Amino acid sequence: MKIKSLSYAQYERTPREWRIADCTFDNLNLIVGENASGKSRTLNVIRGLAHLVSGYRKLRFQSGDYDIVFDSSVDPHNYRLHYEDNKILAESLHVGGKLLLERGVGGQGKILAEKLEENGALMDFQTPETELACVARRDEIQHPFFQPLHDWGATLRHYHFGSNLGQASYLIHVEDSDLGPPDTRDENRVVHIFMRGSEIYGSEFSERVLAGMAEIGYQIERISAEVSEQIEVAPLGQHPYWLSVKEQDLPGKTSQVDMSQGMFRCLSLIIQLVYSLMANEATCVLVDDIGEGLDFERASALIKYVLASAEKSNIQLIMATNDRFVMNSVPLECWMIARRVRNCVNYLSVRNAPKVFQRFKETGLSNFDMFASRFYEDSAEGECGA
Amino acid sequence: MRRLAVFTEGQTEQVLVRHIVWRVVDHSDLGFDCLRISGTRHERVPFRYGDTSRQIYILLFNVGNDESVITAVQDRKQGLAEKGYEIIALRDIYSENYLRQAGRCVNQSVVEKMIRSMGEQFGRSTRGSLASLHFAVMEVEAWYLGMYELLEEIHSTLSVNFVESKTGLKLANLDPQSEFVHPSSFLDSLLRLVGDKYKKDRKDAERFASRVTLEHLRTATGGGRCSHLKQFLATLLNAVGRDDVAHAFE
Repeated sequence: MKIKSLSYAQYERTPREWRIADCTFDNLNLIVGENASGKSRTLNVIRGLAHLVSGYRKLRFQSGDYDIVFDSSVDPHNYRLHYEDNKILAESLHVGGKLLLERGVGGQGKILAEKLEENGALMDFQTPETELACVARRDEIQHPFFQPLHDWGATLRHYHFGSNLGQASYLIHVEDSDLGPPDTRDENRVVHIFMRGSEIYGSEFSERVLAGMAEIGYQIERISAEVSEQIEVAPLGQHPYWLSVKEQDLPGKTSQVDMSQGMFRCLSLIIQLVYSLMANEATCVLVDDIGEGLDFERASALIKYVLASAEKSNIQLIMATNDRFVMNSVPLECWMIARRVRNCVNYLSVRNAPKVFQRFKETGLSNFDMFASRFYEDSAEGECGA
Repeated sequence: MRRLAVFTEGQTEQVLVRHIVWRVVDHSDLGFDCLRISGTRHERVPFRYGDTSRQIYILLFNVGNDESVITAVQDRKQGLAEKGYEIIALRDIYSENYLRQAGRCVNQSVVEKMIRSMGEQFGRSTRGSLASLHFAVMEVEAWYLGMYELLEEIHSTLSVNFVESKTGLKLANLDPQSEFVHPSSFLDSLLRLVGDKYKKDRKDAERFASRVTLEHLRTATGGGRCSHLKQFLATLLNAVGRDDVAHAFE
């Protein structure tokens, strides 16, 4: 399933009200916008919903009202969820226009039970007000229609390229014990993910990581997870594992703590992407601040690598940036320009403002100038419904 | 003292401009530096000659093939204008944007529309400075196809008669800027007929541009052909003080 559109609101009719209006997506998306325009918050809203519908997180947020449409191979799925003060006020799911779930205040509602009667029937149900029905009632026999929603949420990955992406995180592991599966939803678990990937997929895993790094301009001969003698974890006195690489033009190895931040971010993102792709564990990837801290050549190459990986694997990719090099490397067809008017964020794209984008292309300017010159501000009037 | 900054879309155009300047300007008066724009950096690329103390000093910028000639000028025009530079920009028409609008054919109305709207934008971007924007329609290789005698110098078999016998096209009569949607591909296909190829790399750029003479340029622009080359040459030759040669292209 891929997100087709999203509307969102929180703390409605209060001074804290904040909303995303009519945000539509394609397969490859680049959200661009000024600081505090709502780019990261939009990604966080999507990630938050994914965690809720997959049961990864319990409802712990105070306020949220989602209306999201997914494109799927069957029919469009329209899921709505509204909660306030950690209690669900409304939840519904329509697939191809057909009502499959509807609940309201008090947790009571109706749900389609597919094995009841010949074509299934709506039955009454009740779940605790603090639990999502799509999680609490997940049932492959009676309510299989929740599975795609769950799978989407379970396989969504969110990376913050502007953070250290696990550079300060190590893995404590007793040799010869079972490594166990990593929590691939935690972007800091890169050492564990690398070790698990190498364990399952052998040398092909590290070869694909090295090939990815080479595409970005980092020539690395070997990569390994090694016991760090420099770090001792009190009070157990254990030495954790960390990542280490042998660069072509250096005589010795470089550990993850000695790598430049830009290089480690690239390495971490590639390890996590390669693992998710090989494990078939990603359907939607969010990358915030992609390219941050990289020079022109590497930012452009990273974007090419990520776009190509997503295209090849049919992953929905939603990235956010205000980096010039990144903007110039991503076709305008993928752009979503975040525009915040007071507490409401809306997005301009070729889908809702094709004439604005076409007029810009005719200027012969590079993509970044669309953003830098705010070319869309005058031209967009009346076209985006803002 | 003349100061000139020439911005080209790619390496092929940069090398051609360098060779034309080398042909027409007295070498004792000439200085130039060739640069490639990479993000916000400038990398020095082959070649450099003389220095800024010469009578005519030229900065040749290759903006790196990403349709950003106008942006590159816009970003640098103030600094260049303050130092007394005249700016000449040269960009292709063949691009993703063109293909989306016109498909893989020469559509004159789309070409004219692109030239008009880019010209307007360029005018806004460079207001207050001495700057002009020129176009290679559809690509600079169209100009090489217009210099049909040059092809025979590159490979002795590639005469106009040979090309006509193989493709049915009379290079001496047609206007390459309205005939070929992707001239570099056509040039490659011609060279492949004689066991050669055109890869649009530095080697190709040098072997074509180094042979270009004023006579070739007159051939390409004669009889109303390659009108955009003619305009570009008139501007370039005037800018380097060769008004005597420029008038033939005005």
